[in-house]
Amino acid sequence: MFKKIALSTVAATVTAILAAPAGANIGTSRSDSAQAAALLTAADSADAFASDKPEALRPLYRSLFNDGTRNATLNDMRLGVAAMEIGDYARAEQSFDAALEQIETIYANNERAKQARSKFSKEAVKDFKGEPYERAMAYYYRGLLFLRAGDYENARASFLQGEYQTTVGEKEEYASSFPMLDYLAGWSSQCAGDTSRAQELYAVAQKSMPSLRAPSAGDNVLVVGELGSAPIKSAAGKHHELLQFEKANGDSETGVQFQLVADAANTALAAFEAGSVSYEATNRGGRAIQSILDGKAQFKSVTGAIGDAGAVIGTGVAEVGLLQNDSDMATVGLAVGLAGALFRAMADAAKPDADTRAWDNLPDSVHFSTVQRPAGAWQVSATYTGIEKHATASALDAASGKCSLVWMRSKSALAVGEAAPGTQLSAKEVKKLQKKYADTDKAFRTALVTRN
Amino acid sequence: MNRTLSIVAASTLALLAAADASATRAKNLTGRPAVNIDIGRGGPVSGLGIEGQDILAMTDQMMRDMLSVPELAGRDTPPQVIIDGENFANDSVQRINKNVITNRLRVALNRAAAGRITFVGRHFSKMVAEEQELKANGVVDVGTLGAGNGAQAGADYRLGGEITTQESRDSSGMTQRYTQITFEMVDMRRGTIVWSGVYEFGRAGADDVIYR
Repeated sequence: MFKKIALSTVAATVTAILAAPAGANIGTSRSDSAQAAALLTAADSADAFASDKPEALRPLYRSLFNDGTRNATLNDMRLGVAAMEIGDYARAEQSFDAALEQIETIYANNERAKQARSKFSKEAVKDFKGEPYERAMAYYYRGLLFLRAGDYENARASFLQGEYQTTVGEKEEYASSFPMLDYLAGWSSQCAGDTSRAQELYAVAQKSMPSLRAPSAGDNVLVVGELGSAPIKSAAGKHHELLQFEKANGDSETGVQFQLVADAANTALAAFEAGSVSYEATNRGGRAIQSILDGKAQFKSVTGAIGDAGAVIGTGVAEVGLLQNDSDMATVGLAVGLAGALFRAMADAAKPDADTRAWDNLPDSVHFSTVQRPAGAWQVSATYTGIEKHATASALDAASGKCSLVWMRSKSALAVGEAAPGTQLSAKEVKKLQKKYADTDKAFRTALVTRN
Repeated sequence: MNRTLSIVAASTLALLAAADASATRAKNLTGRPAVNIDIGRGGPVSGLGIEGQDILAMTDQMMRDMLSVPELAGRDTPPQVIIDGENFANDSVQRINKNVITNRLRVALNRAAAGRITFVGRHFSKMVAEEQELKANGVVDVGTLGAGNGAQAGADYRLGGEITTQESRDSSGMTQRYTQITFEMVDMRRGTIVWSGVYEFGRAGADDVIYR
């Protein structure tokens, strides 16, 4: 009798484990009212932190505060472009400098990175650094800000480092993988008076992209027009382990025409596509992490299959044993069923999901034109073909430096949600991470207050 | 039966032991309060580019080297020298404030030269010109040094230099960067180079595979 009760209890346990919802952790999670209260306090602090920032940027500052170190680089990238749009260049420089500092830090022996490689943690637990095209574009924007300030050498350094981010090559000599940035490095050299270096960099850019037109020697105005929306990341595969990139849907703008509007005369400028962000994203090549995610997915599939088979076989053997009053057979059956349940639980806990967090206020493509600065007051107007949009802009740099920069976009960098897209962590997973790294995030937020 | 149960139990335990634990202990769980670091050594945060310890090492090396040059530190009449970032070019892939290098070099050299070299503060020329104008117009008195003849100090020698890098990477994710900083002191009468120095280093590192 006692043996029957014990066997029934084990059977009930196996049934309970098999019935547990998918994704249940092996370990237990404790609700913590004190932690919940602390998180509420953090949200209040995010509002307080953002309250003295420009109104248009407050949602992004709240996101920066709330998300902590995990999304800091991503939120700083989004903030940087948004700040440029409202003309707050000091904030934009600060945001991009913070993002680039993280991008340039070598993440070796990093605990979060190690956790992200674990079978039972999603890739998205890692601190965001961005895919190569995102890192390159962070350098691109920082370089534009240096151009605006007349610091042509640091502008060139930014553009060159950005181009390196997209280089995956085994040879010493390589063709430019993001020729737009070599072109901009050449432009920076031209503005700095280094003509030979400028010509060398234009040649590198044109080798990979013959359609890039080198500026005339006397040109000292660079017009930059950004079109369309950021590339989209998605997770494909049976267990969402495969990170895919695609061009954004729904963009109607197909090109841009610039016109120099000056006291003397209006002049149509020849615009050309200098770079395609979606091309850079979709032609990235393989990710080194993909083999690890594939391994996680395989682990999930195999242990799941073993678990399901063990449960079926074990339950069947246990039932036969009970019917035949053979306690030894029933015990073996229940043991196999229990093992199967554990395998199933591990399979459910395995997390091969690829990280789909994305920089959402990037453009799809970038177009350039160059011209010699006219005498007197002047502006540049842009007409975006396909969307009937017309805009006019002055040079970003108010002072008459050696070169001038005009920067325009077909889509607003402010037209994005408060939170960055692609965060696949559940509320429970986010809470668990925030609890684990509470003190690190606290130190980050303290530094944020000092920074801003 | 006992043997069967033992095999099942052992297999299950082995698999559980092989599975990664989801709750790893994190370093710096409690963060780190701000502490002073030895700027002559690598700090807790590192990359491939010029860092604090490089600036210390290169400026100390260049300073000692310059003080051994007779034209600079061995003349009866101390030469007038400009050391600033105006002609110090950054042709590298690293964003850097060049003044961090040239300021330290100028200050360290000025202190070590002990009067053997006269340093011209050309970056203060606007400030000096404004003061001269105030004195000339009688707005302020001439101080204890007098009004002077209105001419600021000219330079006998001026520092120029360049920062350059060469970077390479391989398919394993390792990135390697060679950085070279050259310093040259130029005779401002004839354009000849009276002294040259170079500081160079190489660094390599690889991000965690999750970032490649």
